[in-house]
Amino acid sequence: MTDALKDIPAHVEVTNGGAAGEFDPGILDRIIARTGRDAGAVIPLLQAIQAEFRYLPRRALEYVVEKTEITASRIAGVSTFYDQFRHRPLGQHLIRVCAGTACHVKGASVVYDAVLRRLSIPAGEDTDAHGLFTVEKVACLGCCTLAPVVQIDHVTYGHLTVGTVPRMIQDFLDYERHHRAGKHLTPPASEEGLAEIRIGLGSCCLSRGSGRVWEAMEETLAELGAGTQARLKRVGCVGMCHQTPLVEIVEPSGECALYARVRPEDARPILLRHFRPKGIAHRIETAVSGVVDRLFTEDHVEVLTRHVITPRDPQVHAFLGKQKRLSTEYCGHIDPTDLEEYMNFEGFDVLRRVVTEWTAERVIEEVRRSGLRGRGGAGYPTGLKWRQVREAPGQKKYVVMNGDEGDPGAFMDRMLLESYPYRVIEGMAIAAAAVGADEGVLYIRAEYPLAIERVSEALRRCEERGILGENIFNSGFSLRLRIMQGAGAFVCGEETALLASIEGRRGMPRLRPPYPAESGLWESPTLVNNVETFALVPWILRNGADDFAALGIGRSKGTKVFALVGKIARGGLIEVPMGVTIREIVEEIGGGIAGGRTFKAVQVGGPSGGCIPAELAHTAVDYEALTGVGAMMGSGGFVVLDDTDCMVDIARYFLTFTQNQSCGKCTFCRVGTRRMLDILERLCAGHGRKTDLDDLEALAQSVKKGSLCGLGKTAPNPVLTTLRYFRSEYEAHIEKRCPAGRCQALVHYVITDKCIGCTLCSQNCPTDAIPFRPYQQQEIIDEKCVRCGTCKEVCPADAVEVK
Amino acid sequence: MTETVRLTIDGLGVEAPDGSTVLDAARKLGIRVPTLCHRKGTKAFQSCFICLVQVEGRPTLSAACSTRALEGMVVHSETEEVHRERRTGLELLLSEHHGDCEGPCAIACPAGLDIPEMIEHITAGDAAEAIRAARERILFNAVLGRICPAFCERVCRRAQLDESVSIAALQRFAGDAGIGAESAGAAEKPAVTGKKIAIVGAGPAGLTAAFYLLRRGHACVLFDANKLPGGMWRYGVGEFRLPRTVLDGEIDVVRRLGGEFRMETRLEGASSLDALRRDYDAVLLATGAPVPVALDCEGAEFAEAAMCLLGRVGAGERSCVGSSVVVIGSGDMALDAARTAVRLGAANVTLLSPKERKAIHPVGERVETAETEGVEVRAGVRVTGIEAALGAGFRLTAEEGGKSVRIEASAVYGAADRAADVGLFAGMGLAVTKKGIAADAHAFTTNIGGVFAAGECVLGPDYGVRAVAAGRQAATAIDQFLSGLKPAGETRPINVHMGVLNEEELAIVRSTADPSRRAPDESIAPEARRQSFDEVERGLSMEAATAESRRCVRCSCLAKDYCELRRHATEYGANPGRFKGSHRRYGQEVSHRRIVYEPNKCILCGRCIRAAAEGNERVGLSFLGRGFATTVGVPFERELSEGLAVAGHACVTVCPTGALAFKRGTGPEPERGTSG
Repeated sequence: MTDALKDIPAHVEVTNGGAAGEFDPGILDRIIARTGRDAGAVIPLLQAIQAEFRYLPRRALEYVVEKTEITASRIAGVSTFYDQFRHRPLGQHLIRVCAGTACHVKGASVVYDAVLRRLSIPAGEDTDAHGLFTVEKVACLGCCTLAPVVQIDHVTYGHLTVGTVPRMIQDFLDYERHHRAGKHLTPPASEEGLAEIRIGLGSCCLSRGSGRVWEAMEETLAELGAGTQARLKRVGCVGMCHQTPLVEIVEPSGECALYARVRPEDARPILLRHFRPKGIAHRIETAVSGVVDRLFTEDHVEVLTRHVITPRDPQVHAFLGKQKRLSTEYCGHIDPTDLEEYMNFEGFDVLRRVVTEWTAERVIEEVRRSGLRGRGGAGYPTGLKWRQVREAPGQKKYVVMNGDEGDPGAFMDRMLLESYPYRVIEGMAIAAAAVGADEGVLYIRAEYPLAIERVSEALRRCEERGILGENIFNSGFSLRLRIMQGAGAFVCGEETALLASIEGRRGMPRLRPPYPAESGLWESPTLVNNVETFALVPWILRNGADDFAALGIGRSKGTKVFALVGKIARGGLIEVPMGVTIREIVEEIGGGIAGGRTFKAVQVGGPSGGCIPAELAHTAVDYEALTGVGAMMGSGGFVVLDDTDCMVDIARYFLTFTQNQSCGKCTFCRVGTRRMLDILERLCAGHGRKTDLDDLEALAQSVKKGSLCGLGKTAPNPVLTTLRYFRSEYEAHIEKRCPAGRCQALVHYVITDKCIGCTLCSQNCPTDAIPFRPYQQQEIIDEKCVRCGTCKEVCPADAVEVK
Repeated sequence: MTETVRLTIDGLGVEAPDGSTVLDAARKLGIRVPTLCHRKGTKAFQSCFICLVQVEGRPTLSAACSTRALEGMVVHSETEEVHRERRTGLELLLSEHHGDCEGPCAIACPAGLDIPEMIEHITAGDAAEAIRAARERILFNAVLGRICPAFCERVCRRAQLDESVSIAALQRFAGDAGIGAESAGAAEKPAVTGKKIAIVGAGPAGLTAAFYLLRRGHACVLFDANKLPGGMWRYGVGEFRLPRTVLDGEIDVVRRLGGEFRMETRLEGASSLDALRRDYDAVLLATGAPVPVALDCEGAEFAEAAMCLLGRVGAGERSCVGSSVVVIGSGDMALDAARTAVRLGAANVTLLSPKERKAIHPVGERVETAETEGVEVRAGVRVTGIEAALGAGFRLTAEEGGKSVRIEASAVYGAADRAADVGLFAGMGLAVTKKGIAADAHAFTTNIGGVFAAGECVLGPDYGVRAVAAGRQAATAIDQFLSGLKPAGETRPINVHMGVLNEEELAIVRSTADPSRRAPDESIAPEARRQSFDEVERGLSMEAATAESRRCVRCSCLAKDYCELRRHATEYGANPGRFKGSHRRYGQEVSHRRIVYEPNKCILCGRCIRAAAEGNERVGLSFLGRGFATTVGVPFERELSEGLAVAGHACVTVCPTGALAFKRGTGPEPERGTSG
């Protein structure tokens, strides 16, 4: 038994998860009754079965075949396609190690290895011998600013290192033991004349502890009897992820104060400062954390110092100054699901005008004139697409929101859905009115539970208010919207695959034409737009196409939201006008590279995008300019890399992702990306051959030309751009060198004579590769070393070198 | 009224109904666009992407199966880029497609004998069918079954389990069954073409070429300097290994097909070659390598060429060779000369091999056989001089193990090597190499129009099986030439092969393999051998041959002759080895009565899945998993017999590879040609 499991509390029942033993057809009958029995219902049906049993028992699936119109072939095909579905029982707790880009560059793979080692899970298995934990890698948890991130059930741990993994597991078990019934974070009704205590409650804010700050504030307010002076207010993502948990106090006078990196115990002094005689809370400004909380936010770069900041602070000003908020308008001010508040800020006014006064032609023309292009990545002119759907023959039309944001290192859509659900709904409803659709689907990945929860709530409130449903605003226009949960397949971000998924099929794309605008969902004309595209629509129609078009550069108008992550001093969610340069984002908004290292490149556009070297940092954020340097806008991942990042490793990382997410339908993508990856793996393992680079390039070109959909056509981009800008690094790998010291097979850890003989490295080494030799220079046994970097991390004398 | 569109494909205009695809239009023009996942008359599935074409004005290539033909469209299907990407697509498919097209034995055979098929017929007890199949590639099965070094056995997959199948013995069995049998291997009266070919040299290459040319209806006249045909097989191989009745029996097939022999005729020079060119439609030079090479030592003239000894004996002479004979050299010729000397009554026969023992012959047992018969084998001996000793004998000086030794002998035979008569060829105006005539490796053409060359006169001394291979391939080239085509020789289909099996794969092979041991070699007693030139090795009885044939693990693919992937890959010159890496896992699902499923060969075209659905299978088939790991399988891990309860036949018929195939002897040859 491993150390981690020694202390399993007696009351924690160790079972093998799932309830296959006691099989109750009644449960299934109820599920079937709820989801329907036609082929289109297969994904919600499987999701419901899995929610019940925690995996898909074969007997349950066979029962479904017997009782519904869904064929065995369909069930087997669909249930094995999507990552969400499990066919083996799950351990009692699910550990999900994020493998997103930001996490990758910050060492997620060694963390993953450490988790497996800690739980003694052998290679090829995913669940420990006791059935307590199942470990899986997930594409991206969308908490990139906390990288590397691990989620255990609903608890998120950020900034992990190999060293903190055992403590994380122990902490989780402790937390489980003392688990209290979760409080619902419901805001009180709004009242006039009160101060507002605004706390960001997006997914990543929550995972950095803002939920517990909320609880503490709530308790303290009650205790101080200050409830008459102030009210707590939940707000969406504040964007400044590097400063969260962030509490903003807005006095009725309009004066505001911002507290960064607040911890629960700070609630009292903060509240006393504002709602009691002044002078008591001075110490906050210098408070330094000494204790490690349940949330391991150990970031060696950013010392856990909390201080009062104001938007006028130069740092904050730089972060916010270059930004321009359109899709994230009222960022940090409004409660995501408060419909009244949204309407107070002119919400749904445009929709009302559109359905009651405007002609569809006027709406489409306005969108066209604004120059808005699809924010999903390819940048197709939105107005043009709307017109095509409008003009396509057919009575029945659909509108679909593509919220299957799967790029590792990107979480813009999640943030927009969590923080501005009404804005997205309004944009979508306007689009539906313009193209003549009366039915729509919001396709949101299941990995975004909070987004699904908030959008569901928003939809419900809209229906209650008559903003959705029959005869909206008495205009005669009707629209029914529903949520479809994506089941975990990156390729479903491709619109034809997404539609296949909604229809209950394997998410395999098909060639276009015909485009969905002509033949989409159930072969009807269908408008598919990205979340951010819809979120921009209300602003455009409210402020006018000219105002929108005034922002930006060339054929790229308006703003773009980016997830600014990686080796950056101030990471976060940013919205910038098109035309801003990469350098401005990195240096001004992001505050440069963290830890004083050298800016090497940015990876823009995720697995479809490319690496732009620092020399080309003058490149503007503009569809054409980014494509020109071999990258692409993509959906908005913006990962900053420094000199410790190996570009071959980055290329391999992205290709591993796309290869793993390839649907497997077409030859060039299915096999071609695998063969490209073979070469990259060979290079990183030090087995590269002279001919490899030319072979890789030729094959990359073939994959670009011969693949069916955008996934395959763009999968070679990270490889081609790194080959183009960092070829010498590839050549070094053929010579068995990794200049950045990242490729595990090509580096060795050695202890220099700076060693003071403290044995910390020996004590912490997870594989006993450092024999315990007190007061002597320690030595690493290379064959045992797994290159996890723990020794380097714990060494107080900086005596560990990577060669 | 249906509207039509006009478009241009490869410069040809075509009119097609509106709504057609580019593929439809190309087919209408007779332009062949390869497809694998597509089935005529069904909706395009869009998986294989080998139907790529270039549509003018589009930035990238398009899949013809799914590109709608539009008015005025200009399409190119034969550009270099289109071919390159089709080839790359095929190479990518081949890299995950795991299995053996031909068995390793057939690939190793220089003549490409379809060993598994031959063996299959032996198992079925049909020797006539076995020889018919064998003669598709080799006429001289009885001969080669006796003397071939059998490269096939060295790569035989069965050897990974225990010992290789005794392939040579089975070939001999089939060959013997064919001797004297009417018509075996000869096609029913081929249509006479009226073309006449002069073949110079009636040895292995010439005879073989004659056989395959005669089968195509061409007349052949064979010229040979010797009294009897057979070349080196008659004049360079001991009868105790190759009885002349056997050789004559197979040569007789050529004669029966109408081959005309003009023996004891020599090709004298340019004038006679010109005469042949004048009188015949084509000339094939297959004169072999009959010139003995002298030993490289002083007094080499005292050693007679071993070849001359074998030649005399082969012609029927039984002269005395003295009491102590020394043979210098290695290989079949040296061993046969030594064994012949034993049979001619020499009391002491010594083989002095300049090579190390294991290099004396690629088949080590052949050295042991000679020793059993009384030959003393001394390896690593370099003879430096031969001198006539006082009296009737010779004294040899040699270096052995770093020491100088002297050896006495009553007769010395040199088996250094043989060579083609390069000077003769040069004199005729033929371009030559060091080894022989300079001829194209595939087309067998020489620098003189209409004159072809094959066998040892090109290759230099070599194994008979290689001469036989060259003879057959040259026949194909000559046939092409006579048909007015550019001679190109045979196209060898591409081969995917599994290589050495891993443990997991081996376990699967073992589970279905016949457990019996390899049939032991039977031979006559060594004492009896010393007195007679009778054949030493006994062949397999019908029973033993059938039992041995069952040991074959049937590596070759059931679909190798109709596989669409293989056909397209061959056509586009795809290299199956271009991409190496992980591939599909080997497996055999045999639960179905008539069908075997090998998921390792599946290319995920989905045709069977759709056929099963169309056939209203209750369980059917489905794609399982995603990405590179996707497989086609029966839902819920059920057996194939459940998945394909009714539509099995249709599913096998649509499979473009051997992933789904009828078990041997259980199904009709599926109708093919459902795709392009």
